[in-house]
Amino acid sequence: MTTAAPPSRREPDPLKKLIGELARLPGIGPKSAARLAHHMLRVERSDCEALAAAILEVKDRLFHCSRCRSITASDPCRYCCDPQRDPSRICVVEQPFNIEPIERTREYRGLYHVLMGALAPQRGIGPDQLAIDPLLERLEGVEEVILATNPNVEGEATALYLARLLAPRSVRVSRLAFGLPVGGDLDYIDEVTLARSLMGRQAL
Amino acid sequence: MRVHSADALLLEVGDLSDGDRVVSFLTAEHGRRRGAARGAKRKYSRFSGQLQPLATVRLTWFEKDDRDLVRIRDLEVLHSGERLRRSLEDLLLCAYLTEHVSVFAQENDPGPELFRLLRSVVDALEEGAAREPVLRYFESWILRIGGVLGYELDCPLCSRVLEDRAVLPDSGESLLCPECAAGGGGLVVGQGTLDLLRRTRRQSPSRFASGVLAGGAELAGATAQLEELLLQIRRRFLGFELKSHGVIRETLRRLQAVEKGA
Repeated sequence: MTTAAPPSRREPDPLKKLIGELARLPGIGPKSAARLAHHMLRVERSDCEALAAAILEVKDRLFHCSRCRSITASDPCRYCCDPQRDPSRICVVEQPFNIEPIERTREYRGLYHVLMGALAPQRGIGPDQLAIDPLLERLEGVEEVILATNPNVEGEATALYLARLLAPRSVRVSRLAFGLPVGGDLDYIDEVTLARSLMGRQAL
Repeated sequence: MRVHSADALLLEVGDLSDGDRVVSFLTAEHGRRRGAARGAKRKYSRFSGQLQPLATVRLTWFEKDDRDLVRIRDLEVLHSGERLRRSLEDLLLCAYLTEHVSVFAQENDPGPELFRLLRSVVDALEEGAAREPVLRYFESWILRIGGVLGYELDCPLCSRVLEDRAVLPDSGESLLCPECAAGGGGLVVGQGTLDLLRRTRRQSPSRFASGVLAGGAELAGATAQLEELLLQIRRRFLGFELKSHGVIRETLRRLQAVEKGA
């Protein structure tokens, strides 16, 4: 009489491999990776193929715009080519994905420039590692540079550095305001944000 | 799972995952630790605006035996250190100080001296003490606390007190008396530099800085030599240079060139 082998508790190799690959993605831990991998097993093959094709297409077709360094499928990108946009204003951001939140506000219709990072001396990132020289080369006809780097130490250092670098040029340099969140409550605002709000207060 | 609470100086704040930050901090009792601040990047986070390098905070964190990364539960800012972040030079200085501490402080190893040093240097800078002398003070003390620089200035080979002159040989991290260093090359430091080094031991950072400023041009050579001496000792001890050192020099050099041209 033969007895059936007990079912293996170990994941089959392809599944383990997929979980391993998914777990390397930012924000995905081993548990989430396992959930996603088992979801892939449940869905139609065509859905998996569509996902794999989309990932490959992103890698094959997208690159950085030669002018502003945003992510694009054509060079120059849609922001740089758009005649409706105001070429006299450039908004400087740290990363390509910082453009989208600004676009969602529908308050800004100028051009962009992506620095591809921020000054971080303790990680060895200085001005040479950022796309600062290409920004300086784009300043002809520009009246305002808006510094939209992150409101943290690295973003602030980058903004202060750029402001001083741009000071001798005939261009207005502004920085996104620090302040109170809309709908917030003064009692719950931390002292650093409140102090910055006071410093950046505006006349009514 | 254990819960700890202590006063801490925040060192570096970085991204952990989509909504979370990783924070390294220094406490007197637990040395340097790294903790996850869950949700710190999200709107209305209780951590927002509070995770600033060199802020003094009261921290409460959970710790599990098998994990290096602790979990930050509560954070109350005792002293924001906001004045240290108002100019580019201040921000670069923050990076230099925090990288020093990150390199010299051992994880989970009590470090009351290092905590006191960083606290006193932050206070002095916030009170408006001159940056460069305070930096020399900090650099000399961190080497003392790290066991690289002796508390007493005497030759490790013959025990003679180093008074008029000393030599940092081309290899090694110890200052020798001229007799013991005879025949070898190295950086020769004079009495003025040795006096400054002694002063860093006896004085507070503010007092040391004001003394150096009062010395004016007379002390300029000695302070420049002290900078070079401390740099060489640190570099030899670590076997590498701090990343922030080169970046800060290059950043300020580029700015000076632009501002001079203007």
